[in-house]
Amino acid sequence: MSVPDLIAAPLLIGGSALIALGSLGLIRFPDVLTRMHAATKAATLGVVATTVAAAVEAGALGGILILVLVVALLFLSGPLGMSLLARVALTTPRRCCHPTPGRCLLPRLLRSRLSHCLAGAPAGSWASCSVRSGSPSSGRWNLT
Amino acid sequence: MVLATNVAAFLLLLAAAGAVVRVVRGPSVADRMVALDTLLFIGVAGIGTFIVRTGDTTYVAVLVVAVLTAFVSTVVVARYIEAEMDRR
Repeated sequence: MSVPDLIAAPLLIGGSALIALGSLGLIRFPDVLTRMHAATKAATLGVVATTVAAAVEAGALGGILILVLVVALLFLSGPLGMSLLARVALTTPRRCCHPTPGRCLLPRLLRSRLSHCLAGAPAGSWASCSVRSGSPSSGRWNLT
Repeated sequence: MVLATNVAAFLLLLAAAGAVVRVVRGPSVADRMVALDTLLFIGVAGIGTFIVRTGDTTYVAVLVVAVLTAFVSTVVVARYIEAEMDRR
């Protein structure tokens, strides 16, 4: 392994692990703001680490410059967009974050496996997914 | 480097599966938007892994487009939720 390889490999694996942890938080956390917290911070840092690893490994100078531009764009646009989304999710009343209307996104075969999510809901809707009476912050923010 | 990129690709696959679960399940539009944003970032990281694997910088422009698309889509969906609330 050469010197760029030795720099890039830990950045790559660490960045991918950070993205995987952010995705785990996206699954496990109870409401919108905490999910946003996991996805924005961990995943953004992971993507930046992966991009830096790519810049270390890239052969051409033009590619390296564009990858530096990508890192700058990530640090600028990620917090900006997510703060907009968080402001909207925080200031709008309960009915704002209703479940997306429409039919179930999954085919019938998968739908039976997700029956715990759909229990008691009208056919083909996701309504019961939004009921989180045990969620600690649902009373505070009225988000879920 | 083959081992490192393989491990990274596997971790990114797990992360993408988690984000897809949140896109399908997540109760509100904001949840789905956060998950889709994460999914696009996972795609960016995947292309970065490809660059590390091959040293080929052909797809670097795709990274810029993907990051800007993530930003614009987040802003548009935030505006959509806001407008939807004003309408009711």
